[in-house]
Amino acid sequence: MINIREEDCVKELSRGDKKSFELLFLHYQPQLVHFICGFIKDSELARDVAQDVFLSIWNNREKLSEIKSFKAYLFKMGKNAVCNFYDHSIVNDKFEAEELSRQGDTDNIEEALFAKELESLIEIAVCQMPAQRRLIYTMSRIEGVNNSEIAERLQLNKRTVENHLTAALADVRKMVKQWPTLFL
Amino acid sequence: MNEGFITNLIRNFFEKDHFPKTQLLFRYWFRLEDNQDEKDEALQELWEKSPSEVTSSTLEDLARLQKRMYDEQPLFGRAHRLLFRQILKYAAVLVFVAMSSVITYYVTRPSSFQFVEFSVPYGECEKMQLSDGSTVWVNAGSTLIYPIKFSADNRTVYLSGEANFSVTKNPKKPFIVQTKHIDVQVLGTKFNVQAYPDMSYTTATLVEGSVKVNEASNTAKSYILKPDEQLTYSNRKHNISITHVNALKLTSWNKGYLIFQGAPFDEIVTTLERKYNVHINYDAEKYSGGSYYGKFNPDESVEQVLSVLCKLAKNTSYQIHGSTVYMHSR
Repeated sequence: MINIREEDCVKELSRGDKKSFELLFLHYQPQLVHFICGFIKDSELARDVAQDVFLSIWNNREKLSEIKSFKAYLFKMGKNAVCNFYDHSIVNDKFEAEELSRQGDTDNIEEALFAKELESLIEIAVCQMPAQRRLIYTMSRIEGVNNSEIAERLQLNKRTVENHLTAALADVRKMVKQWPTLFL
Repeated sequence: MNEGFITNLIRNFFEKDHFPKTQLLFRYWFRLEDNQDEKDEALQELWEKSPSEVTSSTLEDLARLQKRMYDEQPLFGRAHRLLFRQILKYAAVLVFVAMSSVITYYVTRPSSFQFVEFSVPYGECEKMQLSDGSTVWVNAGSTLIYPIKFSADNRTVYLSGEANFSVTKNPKKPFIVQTKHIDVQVLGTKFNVQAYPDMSYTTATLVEGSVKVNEASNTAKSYILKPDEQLTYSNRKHNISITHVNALKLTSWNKGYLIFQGAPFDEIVTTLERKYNVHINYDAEKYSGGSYYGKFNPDESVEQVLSVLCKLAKNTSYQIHGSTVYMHSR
Protein backbone atom coordinates (compact mmCIF):
# COMPACT_ATOMS: atom_id res chain seq x y z
CA MET A 1 0.00 0.00 0.00
CA ILE A 2 3.08 2.19 -0.06
CA ASN A 3 1.89 5.57 -1.26
CA ILE A 4 -1.51 4.24 -2.24
CA ARG A 5 -3.61 6.97 -0.74
CA GLU A 6 -2.20 6.54 2.67
CA GLU A 7 -3.21 10.08 3.59
CA ASP A 8 -6.79 9.27 2.58
CA CYS A 9 -6.68 6.07 4.59
CA VAL A 10 -5.50 7.94 7.68
CA LYS A 11 -8.12 10.63 7.18
CA GLU A 12 -10.86 8.03 6.90
CA LEU A 13 -9.54 6.24 9.96
CA SER A 14 -9.68 9.45 11.98
CA ARG A 15 -13.39 9.52 11.13
CA GLY A 16 -13.80 5.97 12.40
CA ASP A 17 -13.53 3.96 9.20
CA LYS A 18 -12.71 0.37 10.10
CA LYS A 19 -11.64 -0.66 6.65
CA SER A 20 -8.94 2.00 6.56
CA PHE A 21 -7.80 0.79 9.94
CA GLU A 22 -7.52 -2.73 8.57
CA LEU A 23 -5.51 -1.56 5.59
CA LEU A 24 -3.09 0.39 7.74
CA PHE A 25 -2.86 -2.50 10.18
CA LEU A 26 -2.04 -4.94 7.40
CA HIS A 27 0.55 -2.65 5.98
CA TYR A 28 2.32 -1.66 9.17
CA GLN A 29 1.66 -4.26 11.86
CA PRO A 30 4.29 -6.77 10.64
CA GLN A 31 6.86 -3.98 10.52
CA LEU A 32 5.95 -2.89 14.03
CA VAL A 33 6.12 -6.45 15.38
CA HIS A 34 9.54 -6.96 13.80
CA PHE A 35 10.78 -3.69 15.23
CA ILE A 36 9.52 -4.39 18.75
CA CYS A 37 10.69 -7.99 18.66
CA GLY A 38 14.24 -6.87 17.86
CA PHE A 39 14.27 -5.11 21.20
CA ILE A 40 12.30 -7.38 23.46
CA LYS A 41 13.42 -10.67 21.89
CA ASP A 42 10.13 -12.49 22.33
CA SER A 43 7.88 -12.69 19.30
CA GLU A 44 4.69 -13.53 21.20
CA LEU A 45 5.22 -10.62 23.55
CA ALA A 46 6.10 -8.36 20.63
CA ARG A 47 2.77 -9.23 19.02
CA ASP A 48 0.93 -8.34 22.22
CA VAL A 49 2.75 -5.03 22.56
CA ALA A 50 1.92 -4.22 18.92
CA GLN A 51 -1.74 -5.05 19.59
CA ASP A 52 -1.80 -2.49 22.38
CA VAL A 53 -0.23 0.11 20.11
CA PHE A 54 -2.83 -0.44 17.41
CA LEU A 55 -5.68 -0.50 19.91
CA SER A 56 -4.51 2.81 21.27
CA ILE A 57 -4.35 4.19 17.70
CA TRP A 58 -7.95 3.09 17.22
CA ASN A 59 -9.10 4.52 20.52
CA ASN A 60 -7.39 7.83 19.77
CA ARG A 61 -8.23 7.90 16.10
CA GLU A 62 -9.56 11.48 16.17
CA LYS A 63 -6.04 12.68 16.83
CA LEU A 64 -4.89 11.22 13.53
CA SER A 65 -6.42 14.10 11.59
CA GLU A 66 -3.58 16.24 12.90
CA ILE A 67 -0.64 14.03 12.01
CA LYS A 68 1.45 14.42 8.88
CA SER A 69 2.90 10.95 8.49
CA PHE A 70 1.30 7.80 9.84
CA LYS A 71 4.58 5.93 9.54
CA ALA A 72 6.40 8.49 11.66
CA TYR A 73 3.55 8.48 14.16
CA LEU A 74 3.64 4.70 14.42
CA PHE A 75 7.41 4.73 14.82
CA LYS A 76 7.04 7.09 17.76
CA MET A 77 4.41 4.87 19.32
CA GLY A 78 6.55 1.78 18.76
CA LYS A 79 9.56 3.47 20.31
CA ASN A 80 7.55 4.53 23.34
CA ALA A 81 6.17 1.02 23.68
CA VAL A 82 9.70 -0.43 23.75
CA CYS A 83 10.85 2.17 26.29
CA ASN A 84 7.85 1.53 28.53
CA PHE A 85 8.40 -2.18 28.29
CA TYR A 86 12.06 -1.71 29.23
CA ASP A 87 11.31 0.56 32.17
CA HIS A 88 8.66 -1.77 33.39
CA SER A 89 10.82 -4.85 33.10
CA ILE A 90 13.76 -3.18 34.81
CA VAL A 91 11.67 -2.00 37.72
CA ASN A 92 9.77 -5.23 38.07
CA ASP A 93 12.88 -7.34 37.85
CA LYS A 94 11.35 -9.41 35.15
CA PHE A 95 14.61 -11.15 34.61
CA GLU A 96 14.77 -13.39 37.58
CA ALA A 97 18.00 -13.06 39.47
CA GLU A 98 18.42 -16.80 39.56
CA GLU A 99 18.19 -17.16 35.86
CA LEU A 100 20.70 -14.39 35.47
CA SER A 101 23.23 -15.89 37.80
CA ARG A 102 22.77 -19.27 36.18
CA GLN A 103 23.59 -17.81 32.82
CA GLY A 104 25.90 -15.20 34.20
CA ASP A 105 29.13 -16.57 32.83
CA THR A 106 29.26 -17.47 29.23
CA ASP A 107 31.91 -19.12 27.14
CA ASN A 108 30.56 -17.35 24.10
CA ILE A 109 33.31 -14.82 23.51
CA GLU A 110 31.32 -12.61 21.22
CA GLU A 111 28.46 -12.41 23.67
CA ALA A 112 30.85 -11.73 26.56
CA LEU A 113 32.50 -8.91 24.62
CA PHE A 114 29.16 -7.41 23.79
CA ALA A 115 28.12 -7.49 27.45
CA LYS A 116 31.48 -5.95 28.44
CA GLU A 117 30.91 -3.16 25.97
CA LEU A 118 27.52 -2.41 27.48
CA GLU A 119 28.98 -2.46 30.96
CA SER A 120 31.60 0.10 30.10
CA LEU A 121 29.01 2.27 28.41
CA ILE A 122 26.89 2.22 31.55
CA GLU A 123 29.94 3.11 33.56
CA ILE A 124 30.67 6.04 31.28
CA ALA A 125 27.08 7.17 31.59
CA VAL A 126 27.26 7.06 35.35
CA CYS A 127 30.47 9.10 35.31
CA GLN A 128 28.78 11.69 33.15
CA MET A 129 25.92 12.19 35.52
CA PRO A 130 25.66 15.61 37.14
CA ALA A 131 27.71 15.64 40.33
CA GLN A 132 24.81 15.64 42.72
CA ARG A 133 22.94 12.89 41.00
CA ARG A 134 26.07 10.78 40.91
CA LEU A 135 26.60 11.40 44.61
CA ILE A 136 23.06 10.40 45.49
CA TYR A 137 23.36 7.49 43.20
CA THR A 138 26.61 6.34 44.76
CA MET A 139 25.30 6.68 48.27
CA SER A 140 22.26 4.75 47.39
CA ARG A 141 24.22 2.18 45.44
CA ILE A 142 27.39 1.54 47.39
CA GLU A 143 26.45 2.49 50.90
CA GLY A 144 22.87 1.31 50.68
CA VAL A 145 21.69 4.46 52.40
CA ASN A 146 17.96 4.92 52.20
CA ASN A 147 16.38 7.91 50.57
CA SER A 148 15.32 9.81 53.67
CA GLU A 149 18.80 9.46 55.09
CA ILE A 150 20.36 10.71 51.87
CA ALA A 151 17.94 13.61 51.93
CA GLU A 152 18.88 14.38 55.49
CA ARG A 153 22.61 14.14 54.93
CA LEU A 154 22.56 16.28 51.80
CA GLN A 155 19.89 18.57 53.21
CA LEU A 156 17.59 17.95 50.33
CA ASN A 157 13.94 17.29 49.98
CA LYS A 158 13.28 13.56 49.98
CA ARG A 159 11.31 14.01 46.77
CA THR A 160 14.36 15.54 45.10
CA VAL A 161 16.41 12.52 46.05
CA GLU A 162 13.79 10.25 44.60
CA ASN A 163 13.68 12.25 41.40
CA HIS A 164 17.42 12.00 41.04
CA LEU A 165 17.31 8.31 41.56
CA THR A 166 14.49 7.82 39.13
CA ALA A 167 16.39 9.81 36.58
CA ALA A 168 19.35 7.54 37.01
CA LEU A 169 17.12 4.50 37.11
CA ALA A 170 16.76 3.56 40.71
CA ASP A 171 17.16 -0.14 40.24
CA VAL A 172 20.90 0.12 39.90
CA ARG A 173 21.45 -1.37 43.31
CA LYS A 174 19.88 -4.59 42.21
CA MET A 175 22.13 -4.75 39.23
CA VAL A 176 25.21 -4.02 41.28
CA LYS A 177 24.35 -6.81 43.63
CA GLN A 178 24.12 -9.17 40.75
CA TRP A 179 27.33 -8.08 39.12
CA PRO A 180 29.55 -6.64 41.80
CA THR A 181 32.31 -5.76 39.35
CA LEU A 182 30.07 -3.71 37.17
CA PHE A 183 30.63 -0.27 38.59
CA LEU A 184 33.90 -0.68 40.40
CA MET B 1 33.33 8.02 21.31
CA ASN B 2 33.82 7.15 17.69
CA GLU B 3 31.14 7.78 15.14
CA GLY B 4 28.63 5.04 14.61
CA PHE B 5 29.65 3.07 17.70
CA ILE B 6 26.27 3.49 19.37
CA THR B 7 24.46 2.72 16.14
CA ASN B 8 26.45 -0.45 15.64
CA LEU B 9 25.85 -1.56 19.18
CA ILE B 10 22.10 -1.13 18.87
CA ARG B 11 22.07 -2.78 15.47
CA ASN B 12 24.05 -5.70 16.83
CA PHE B 13 21.63 -6.10 19.70
CA PHE B 14 18.61 -5.81 17.42
CA GLU B 15 19.75 -8.39 14.91
CA LYS B 16 20.95 -11.16 17.20
CA ASP B 17 19.72 -13.19 20.11
CA HIS B 18 21.31 -12.42 23.45
CA PHE B 19 21.52 -13.94 26.88
CA PRO B 20 19.14 -12.48 29.47
CA LYS B 21 22.04 -10.87 31.27
CA THR B 22 23.13 -9.02 28.16
CA GLN B 23 19.55 -8.09 27.47
CA LEU B 24 19.13 -6.55 30.89
CA LEU B 25 22.40 -4.65 30.51
CA PHE B 26 21.20 -3.41 27.17
CA ARG B 27 17.82 -2.37 28.56
CA TYR B 28 19.50 -0.53 31.34
CA TRP B 29 21.99 1.22 29.10
CA PHE B 30 19.37 2.01 26.50
CA ARG B 31 17.20 3.83 29.02
CA LEU B 32 20.05 5.98 30.33
CA GLU B 33 19.77 9.50 29.10
CA ASP B 34 23.12 9.82 27.37
CA ASN B 35 23.68 9.66 23.62
CA GLN B 36 19.97 10.13 23.06
CA ASP B 37 20.33 11.53 19.55
CA GLU B 38 22.43 8.66 18.35
CA LYS B 39 20.11 6.14 19.94
CA ASP B 40 17.16 7.76 18.24
CA GLU B 41 18.92 7.71 14.90
CA ALA B 42 19.71 4.02 15.24
CA LEU B 43 16.10 3.30 16.13
CA GLN B 44 14.88 5.21 13.12
CA GLU B 45 17.20 3.21 10.90
CA LEU B 46 16.05 -0.12 12.33
CA TRP B 47 12.44 0.97 11.96
CA GLU B 48 12.98 1.83 8.31
CA LYS B 49 14.64 -1.52 7.71
CA SER B 50 12.00 -3.63 9.44
CA PRO B 51 10.19 -5.63 6.77
CA SER B 52 6.43 -5.58 6.52
CA GLU B 53 5.26 -8.95 5.34
CA VAL B 54 1.77 -10.14 6.07
CA THR B 55 1.64 -13.67 7.45
CA SER B 56 -1.08 -15.80 8.97
CA SER B 57 -0.21 -14.43 12.40
CA THR B 58 -0.84 -10.88 11.12
CA LEU B 59 -4.37 -11.88 10.14
CA GLU B 60 -4.80 -13.69 13.44
CA ASP B 61 -3.71 -10.56 15.30
CA LEU B 62 -6.08 -8.42 13.26
CA ALA B 63 -9.03 -10.68 14.09
CA ARG B 64 -8.04 -10.68 17.75
CA LEU B 65 -7.75 -6.90 17.80
CA GLN B 66 -11.06 -6.39 16.03
CA LYS B 67 -12.75 -8.43 18.71
CA ARG B 68 -11.30 -6.11 21.33
CA MET B 69 -12.25 -3.02 19.31
CA TYR B 70 -15.88 -4.06 18.95
CA ASP B 71 -16.27 -5.39 22.47
CA GLU B 72 -15.31 -2.06 23.90
CA GLN B 73 -18.00 -0.23 21.97
CA PRO B 74 -21.13 0.71 23.91
CA LEU B 75 -24.16 -1.31 22.94
CA PHE B 76 -26.42 1.71 22.64
CA GLY B 77 -25.43 5.11 21.39
CA ARG B 78 -26.03 8.26 23.42
CA ALA B 79 -28.90 9.30 21.21
CA HIS B 80 -30.77 6.13 21.98
CA ARG B 81 -30.44 6.59 25.71
CA LEU B 82 -31.74 10.16 25.54
CA LEU B 83 -34.73 9.00 23.57
CA PHE B 84 -35.50 6.40 26.20
CA ARG B 85 -35.63 9.06 28.86
CA GLN B 86 -37.63 11.60 26.92
CA ILE B 87 -40.41 9.56 25.51
CA LEU B 88 -41.20 7.06 28.18
CA LYS B 89 -44.75 6.43 27.04
CA TYR B 90 -43.42 4.99 23.82
CA ALA B 91 -40.90 2.99 25.72
CA ALA B 92 -42.27 -0.37 24.71
CA VAL B 93 -42.29 0.56 21.06
CA LEU B 94 -38.90 2.16 21.27
CA VAL B 95 -37.37 -0.79 23.04
CA PHE B 96 -38.63 -2.95 20.26
CA VAL B 97 -37.21 -0.59 17.64
CA ALA B 98 -33.91 -0.27 19.45
CA MET B 99 -33.59 -3.99 19.92
CA SER B 100 -34.38 -4.77 16.34
CA SER B 101 -31.87 -2.20 15.16
CA VAL B 102 -29.26 -3.80 17.37
CA ILE B 103 -30.11 -7.17 15.93
CA THR B 104 -29.98 -5.75 12.41
CA TYR B 105 -26.66 -4.18 13.24
CA TYR B 106 -25.19 -7.48 14.29
CA VAL B 107 -26.67 -9.38 11.39
CA THR B 108 -25.71 -6.95 8.67
CA ARG B 109 -22.47 -5.76 10.12
CA PRO B 110 -20.04 -6.04 7.26
CA SER B 111 -18.02 -9.21 7.58
CA SER B 112 -14.48 -8.26 8.35
CA PHE B 113 -12.37 -7.71 5.27
CA GLN B 114 -9.22 -9.66 5.38
CA PHE B 115 -6.45 -8.45 3.17
CA VAL B 116 -3.33 -10.12 2.01
CA GLU B 117 -0.25 -8.21 1.02
CA PHE B 118 1.71 -9.88 -1.74
CA SER B 119 5.15 -8.36 -2.15
CA VAL B 120 7.77 -9.35 -4.69
CA PRO B 121 11.38 -8.39 -3.91
CA TYR B 122 13.84 -6.90 -6.38
CA GLY B 123 15.28 -9.40 -8.82
CA GLU B 124 12.15 -11.55 -9.00
CA CYS B 125 8.69 -11.70 -10.50
CA GLU B 126 5.92 -13.96 -9.30
CA LYS B 127 2.60 -15.31 -10.46
CA MET B 128 -0.33 -15.56 -8.10
CA GLN B 129 -3.99 -16.42 -8.35
CA LEU B 130 -6.88 -14.53 -6.80
CA SER B 131 -9.97 -16.16 -5.30
CA ASP B 132 -12.03 -15.45 -8.45
CA GLY B 133 -9.58 -17.37 -10.65
CA SER B 134 -7.88 -14.28 -12.10
CA THR B 135 -4.13 -14.58 -12.38
CA VAL B 136 -1.63 -11.83 -11.71
CA TRP B 137 2.06 -11.65 -12.53
CA VAL B 138 3.60 -9.28 -10.05
CA ASN B 139 6.87 -7.69 -11.13
CA ALA B 140 10.00 -6.99 -9.07
CA GLY B 141 9.72 -4.45 -6.29
CA SER B 142 5.91 -4.43 -6.38
CA THR B 143 3.13 -4.99 -3.88
CA LEU B 144 -0.39 -6.20 -4.51
CA ILE B 145 -2.99 -6.02 -1.74
CA TYR B 146 -6.14 -8.05 -2.16
CA PRO B 147 -8.94 -9.32 0.03
CA ILE B 148 -9.03 -13.03 0.82
CA LYS B 149 -12.64 -12.91 -0.30
CA PHE B 150 -13.97 -10.28 -2.66
CA SER B 151 -16.95 -8.19 -1.61
CA ALA B 152 -20.38 -8.79 -3.14
CA ASP B 153 -20.38 -6.06 -5.76
CA ASN B 154 -16.83 -5.67 -7.01
CA ARG B 155 -13.33 -7.10 -7.01
CA THR B 156 -10.94 -4.40 -5.87
CA VAL B 157 -7.19 -4.80 -5.48
CA TYR B 158 -4.49 -2.25 -4.69
CA LEU B 159 -1.23 -2.08 -6.58
CA SER B 160 2.05 -0.34 -5.95
CA GLY B 161 4.49 -1.26 -8.70
CA GLU B 162 3.84 -3.28 -11.84
CA ALA B 163 1.66 -6.27 -12.62
CA ASN B 164 0.11 -8.10 -15.57
CA PHE B 165 -3.51 -9.05 -14.97
CA SER B 166 -5.49 -11.78 -16.62
CA VAL B 167 -8.96 -11.30 -15.25
CA THR B 168 -11.72 -13.93 -15.20
CA LYS B 169 -14.90 -12.62 -16.81
CA ASN B 170 -17.69 -11.67 -14.43
CA PRO B 171 -19.99 -8.91 -15.73
CA LYS B 172 -21.72 -8.62 -12.37
CA LYS B 173 -18.54 -7.88 -10.47
CA PRO B 174 -16.18 -5.44 -12.12
CA PHE B 175 -12.50 -5.93 -11.37
CA ILE B 176 -10.81 -2.74 -10.19
CA VAL B 177 -7.11 -2.05 -9.82
CA GLN B 178 -6.54 0.96 -7.63
CA THR B 179 -3.21 2.76 -7.66
CA LYS B 180 -2.13 6.01 -6.15
CA HIS B 181 -3.05 8.01 -9.23
CA ILE B 182 -5.39 6.00 -11.44
CA ASP B 183 -8.09 3.34 -11.17
CA VAL B 184 -8.43 0.69 -13.88
CA GLN B 185 -11.77 -1.04 -14.14
CA VAL B 186 -12.49 -4.14 -16.23
CA LEU B 187 -14.97 -6.93 -16.61
CA GLY B 188 -12.63 -9.59 -17.92
CA THR B 189 -9.49 -9.04 -19.93
CA LYS B 190 -5.69 -8.98 -20.05
CA PHE B 191 -3.85 -5.83 -19.18
CA ASN B 192 -0.83 -4.38 -17.43
CA VAL B 193 -0.61 -1.67 -14.81
CA GLN B 194 2.63 0.05 -13.91
CA ALA B 195 2.49 2.29 -10.85
CA TYR B 196 5.91 2.40 -9.20
CA PRO B 197 6.08 5.07 -6.53
CA ASP B 198 9.55 6.15 -7.73
CA MET B 199 8.52 6.66 -11.37
CA SER B 200 7.19 9.92 -12.70
CA TYR B 201 4.20 8.37 -14.44
CA THR B 202 1.62 5.59 -14.11
CA THR B 203 0.55 3.48 -17.08
CA ALA B 204 -2.21 1.08 -18.01
CA THR B 205 -1.66 -1.08 -21.12
CA LEU B 206 -4.35 -3.23 -22.66
CA VAL B 207 -3.55 -6.58 -24.29
CA GLU B 208 -7.04 -8.00 -24.80
CA GLY B 209 -10.65 -6.94 -24.17
CA SER B 210 -11.47 -3.50 -22.89
CA VAL B 211 -10.76 -1.46 -19.79
CA LYS B 212 -11.99 1.78 -18.29
CA VAL B 213 -9.47 4.06 -16.61
CA ASN B 214 -10.09 7.09 -14.47
CA GLU B 215 -8.00 9.37 -12.33
CA ALA B 216 -8.17 8.44 -8.69
CA SER B 217 -8.95 12.04 -7.83
CA ASN B 218 -11.63 12.43 -10.47
CA THR B 219 -13.90 9.44 -10.94
CA ALA B 220 -16.31 11.35 -13.15
CA LYS B 221 -14.07 11.40 -16.21
CA SER B 222 -13.01 8.08 -17.63
CA TYR B 223 -11.11 6.74 -20.63
CA ILE B 224 -11.83 3.51 -22.50
CA LEU B 225 -8.77 1.69 -23.88
CA LYS B 226 -8.66 -0.58 -26.94
CA PRO B 227 -6.17 -3.43 -27.30
CA ASP B 228 -2.58 -2.23 -27.85
CA GLU B 229 -3.35 1.14 -26.38
CA GLN B 230 -1.41 2.51 -23.45
CA LEU B 231 -2.68 5.21 -21.14
CA THR B 232 0.03 7.26 -19.48
CA TYR B 233 -0.71 9.43 -16.49
CA SER B 234 1.92 11.95 -15.51
CA ASN B 235 2.19 11.81 -11.73
CA ARG B 236 3.61 15.32 -11.64
CA LYS B 237 1.70 17.18 -14.36
CA HIS B 238 -1.51 15.22 -13.72
CA ASN B 239 -2.37 14.86 -17.39
CA ILE B 240 -3.29 11.81 -19.42
CA SER B 241 -2.18 10.69 -22.87
CA ILE B 242 -3.02 7.57 -24.88
CA THR B 243 -0.53 6.04 -27.30
CA HIS B 244 -0.41 3.00 -29.55
CA VAL B 245 2.06 0.30 -28.41
CA ASN B 246 2.84 -3.37 -28.84
CA ALA B 247 1.15 -4.50 -25.65
CA LEU B 248 2.17 -8.15 -25.83
CA LYS B 249 5.82 -7.16 -26.06
CA LEU B 250 5.62 -4.60 -23.29
CA THR B 251 4.04 -7.10 -20.95
CA SER B 252 6.49 -9.91 -21.68
CA TRP B 253 8.66 -9.20 -18.62
CA ASN B 254 7.06 -12.15 -16.87
CA LYS B 255 8.81 -14.39 -19.39
CA GLY B 256 12.01 -12.57 -18.59
CA TYR B 257 12.04 -10.11 -21.50
CA LEU B 258 12.57 -6.44 -20.89
CA ILE B 259 11.43 -4.30 -23.78
CA PHE B 260 11.70 -0.54 -23.99
CA GLN B 261 10.00 1.48 -26.66
CA GLY B 262 11.10 5.07 -26.53
CA ALA B 263 11.73 4.90 -22.81
CA PRO B 264 13.72 7.56 -20.92
CA PHE B 265 17.13 6.46 -19.65
CA ASP B 266 16.19 6.60 -15.98
CA GLU B 267 13.28 4.23 -16.57
CA ILE B 268 15.62 1.66 -18.12
CA VAL B 269 18.01 2.03 -15.21
CA THR B 270 15.34 1.60 -12.52
CA THR B 271 13.84 -1.37 -14.34
CA LEU B 272 17.25 -3.06 -14.52
CA GLU B 273 17.90 -2.23 -10.86
CA ARG B 274 14.69 -3.97 -9.93
CA LYS B 275 15.22 -6.98 -12.15
CA TYR B 276 18.84 -7.62 -11.22
CA ASN B 277 18.62 -6.30 -7.66
CA VAL B 278 21.55 -3.93 -8.08
CA HIS B 279 22.05 -0.25 -7.48
CA ILE B 280 23.26 1.71 -10.49
CA ASN B 281 25.08 4.98 -10.00
CA TYR B 282 25.10 7.26 -13.01
CA ASP B 283 24.96 10.90 -13.95
CA ALA B 284 21.19 11.31 -14.32
CA GLU B 285 21.42 14.74 -15.86
CA LYS B 286 23.67 13.63 -18.65
CA TYR B 287 21.16 11.14 -20.02
CA SER B 288 17.94 12.98 -19.35
CA GLY B 289 15.73 13.95 -22.26
CA GLY B 290 16.75 11.09 -24.55
CA SER B 291 14.49 8.20 -25.48
CA TYR B 292 15.83 4.69 -25.93
CA TYR B 293 14.78 1.47 -27.62
CA GLY B 294 16.04 -1.90 -26.52
CA LYS B 295 15.21 -5.48 -25.78
CA PHE B 296 16.86 -7.64 -23.14
CA ASN B 297 16.48 -11.39 -23.23
CA PRO B 298 15.62 -13.59 -20.25
CA ASP B 299 18.99 -15.36 -20.05
CA GLU B 300 21.18 -12.27 -20.20
CA SER B 301 23.49 -11.75 -17.26
CA VAL B 302 23.77 -8.44 -15.47
CA GLU B 303 27.16 -7.90 -17.16
CA GLN B 304 25.72 -8.43 -20.63
CA VAL B 305 22.84 -6.12 -19.89
CA LEU B 306 25.16 -3.44 -18.53
CA SER B 307 27.40 -3.55 -21.57
CA VAL B 308 24.33 -3.01 -23.74
CA LEU B 309 23.30 -0.15 -21.50
CA CYS B 310 26.75 1.42 -21.88
CA LYS B 311 26.45 1.14 -25.64
CA LEU B 312 23.07 2.83 -25.53
CA ALA B 313 24.50 5.59 -23.38
CA LYS B 314 27.49 5.98 -25.75
CA ASN B 315 31.11 6.34 -24.56
CA THR B 316 30.33 4.86 -21.20
CA SER B 317 31.89 2.08 -19.19
CA TYR B 318 30.85 0.39 -15.99
CA GLN B 319 32.34 -1.19 -12.88
CA ILE B 320 30.62 -3.57 -10.46
CA HIS B 321 31.36 -3.55 -6.72
CA GLY B 322 29.17 -6.09 -4.98
CA SER B 323 25.63 -5.09 -5.82
CA THR B 324 26.54 -1.54 -6.79
CA VAL B 325 27.27 -0.53 -10.35
CA TYR B 326 29.13 2.63 -11.31
CA MET B 327 28.75 4.05 -14.80
CA HIS B 328 31.45 6.44 -15.99
CA SER B 329 31.55 8.39 -19.20
CA ARG B 330 34.85 8.06 -20.95
